[in-house]
Amino acid sequence: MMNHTTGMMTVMLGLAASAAAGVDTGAASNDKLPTVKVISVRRVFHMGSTMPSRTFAGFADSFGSPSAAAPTATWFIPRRPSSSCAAPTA
Amino acid sequence: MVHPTASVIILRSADGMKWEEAHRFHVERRDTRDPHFLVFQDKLFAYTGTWYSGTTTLARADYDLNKHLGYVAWSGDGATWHSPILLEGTFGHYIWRAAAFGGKAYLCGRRNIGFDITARGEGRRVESLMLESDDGLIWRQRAVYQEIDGDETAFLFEADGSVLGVGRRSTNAQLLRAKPPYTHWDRKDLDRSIGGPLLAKWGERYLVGGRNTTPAGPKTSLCWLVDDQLHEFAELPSGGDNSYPGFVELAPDRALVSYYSSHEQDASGKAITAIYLAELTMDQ
Repeated sequence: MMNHTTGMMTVMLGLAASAAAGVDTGAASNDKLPTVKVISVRRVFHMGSTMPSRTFAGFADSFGSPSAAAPTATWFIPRRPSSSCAAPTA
Repeated sequence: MVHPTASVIILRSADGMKWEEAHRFHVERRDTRDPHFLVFQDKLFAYTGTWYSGTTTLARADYDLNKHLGYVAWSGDGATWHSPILLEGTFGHYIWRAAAFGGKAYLCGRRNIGFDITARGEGRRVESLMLESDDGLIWRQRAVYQEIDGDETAFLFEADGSVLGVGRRSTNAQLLRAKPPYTHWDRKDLDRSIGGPLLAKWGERYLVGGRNTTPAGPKTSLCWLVDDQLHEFAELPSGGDNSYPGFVELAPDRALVSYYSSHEQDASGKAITAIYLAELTMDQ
């Protein structure tokens, strides 16, 4: 398991490795459907380990002159149950 | 658990790699949770359903759906935010994902049937409503689309105004369809339960995501929806409490998916909960 105190880079590499090791299920069972690959998974936000955390809610969307090729901004809304959590790690 | 110390943090990124906090808000004596975005009338709305908690952590036995209340933070430019704004018409409703079509905003809102004052927490005697608004702030009932066992629902409007939905239930999730004025709904069970459902389009294809119950435990997975059938194409690294995927199409063959999960542990072995970002590519 990851130790988030060892730094974000370690976590990122570890998650990327787990994805490459077979988390991606590749092609869907229907031949007419395209193949989707999960090329990376990164942890972008977390709380300190001492917090009574249970859930986050995350949702991404684009806003502000969005374009399909390159949205100008992507937004997240994480929920956190304590005001004394760690700062975003990204 | 329900905590009055909860807050909603809005992060933004221009490239999906580096993130910065854009806004943060909380509601006194309430637990802000399940936040969702809506772009509507050239504004970005961030909706949250809030449990009443009082001055301290609330025991599960004291959760009261009748005291739920929706709030929003909104911004016209992403820099200046207005929050928290109480949403008129949402008292007693647990609001969830939002959508917009034809100059109106819509929210999933679930509530105790008849605002039953004896029920605590969330049981099967919960109905799901489509709430409607002209300004994103004042809400009214448009339809009851699940008369019982209502839960988190994602709506997707088509160009002709018809709406497709994926509704979580205590058993298998339901596929929901209606045409304006959304008073009659067709419902069809899917082949699995879906916690925190996502419904989006990637190109011309329908994408459904959420928490799937597997022999290995709960997992956040992604599926194509074709002819009312789910075809799973990815299971993301996840475990414990996880789900609530979000989706952004960056290009016809590239997308980002956000989700939360509790599958990692800290040095002491305690589970941590975090937000993850998965990058997907698609071979056309």
